[in-house]
Amino acid sequence: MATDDEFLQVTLPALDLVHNLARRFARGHADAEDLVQDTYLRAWQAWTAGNRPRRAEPWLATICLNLGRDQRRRASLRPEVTVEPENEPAADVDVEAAAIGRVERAQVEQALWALSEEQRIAITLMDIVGFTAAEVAGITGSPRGTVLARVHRGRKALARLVAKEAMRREP
Amino acid sequence: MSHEPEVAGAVYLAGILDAAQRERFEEHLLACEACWGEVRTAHRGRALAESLREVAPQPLRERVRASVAAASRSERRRRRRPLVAVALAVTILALVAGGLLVRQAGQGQPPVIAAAVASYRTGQLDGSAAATAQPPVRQAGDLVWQGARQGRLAGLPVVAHEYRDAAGAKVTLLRADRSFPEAVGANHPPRTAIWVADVDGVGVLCADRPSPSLVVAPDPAGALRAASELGLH
Repeated sequence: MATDDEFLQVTLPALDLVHNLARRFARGHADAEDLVQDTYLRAWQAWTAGNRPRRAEPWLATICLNLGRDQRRRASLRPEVTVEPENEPAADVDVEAAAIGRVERAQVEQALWALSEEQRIAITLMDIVGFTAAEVAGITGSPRGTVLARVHRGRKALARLVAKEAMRREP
Repeated sequence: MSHEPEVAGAVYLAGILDAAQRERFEEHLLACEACWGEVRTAHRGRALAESLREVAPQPLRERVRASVAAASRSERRRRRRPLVAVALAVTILALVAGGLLVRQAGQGQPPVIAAAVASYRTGQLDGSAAATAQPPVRQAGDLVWQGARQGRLAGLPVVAHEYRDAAGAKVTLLRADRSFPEAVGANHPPRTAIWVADVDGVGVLCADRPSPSLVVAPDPAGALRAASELGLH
């Protein structure tokens, strides 16, 4: 089997994962797909240099994360808006739940982009992509406790932002 | 268990409590509104995030496959270059050592080879007609495909693809259904299955893969370069 066939057989099953991660680094579909391609090409370079990861998923996620961060630094993108749930007044949870039930996907996506990059990436890696907290800690190079705090606060902020927007839109 | 609702809720939702701890916390949740709200809100946030999971579009899958395949081809060419350079040096040394740089008379060659060299020089091909054949490669390195004709070389049916390099020098790729006879005085570069010869001052190279091919170029070095660029081996 040609080496590139072997590489693709090992790495292509993780394409959905890389795609979901890239979509949370680059807002436009075209930019996200460029990032996916760059991730695979970088991984291929490492593969030809003899690098054989034990598991393809965290390996590709780490490459995508590093490339995404580099690209964002170079592009000096918009300043991040951090939403700390502690500062948000707690709304009635049942009213929030009802409003969230009627929410659209685009609103959730928009709310995710209102979180800090660290929270957005931690949530993407754990909730969208499905890594454990320990794996996210390995990929991001942060202690597991920090990852858990980011994910937890990010989830709460996401729920509240979506609920707020949903309630704002309702008559 | 620490009663900091945020920490307790985060640890509980992360699924890292053992069974007994989980059971204790779940009992606590029924009585503690702060912890209950913490867990409900974060749980809802997790469900919202999970709803964003997407499947990668099929065109992206194809694009990734194609880009890796292209990178792989380029890597193979890069690795082959030093081999070709070594083969070229060895071949030229052999030609010099054998005194073969003194032009060999085309008449001493098998008729197909003599006809190939004559056709390269004159631009004529027996029974020549424009061929509808697509080029095996339209552009490779500095070689650009000019057109194709079909005809015969001493009775052997061939399709002749003409290429020009950046300097305007002509390179002809002749393809047949069966192998070409070996030229007199041919050299076999080490670790390859090709032969190359200087026939009457013209470079002639023969390779059987991917299909029986004869490359005719201004000199043996040019024939070796062209064969490498056209992917013959």
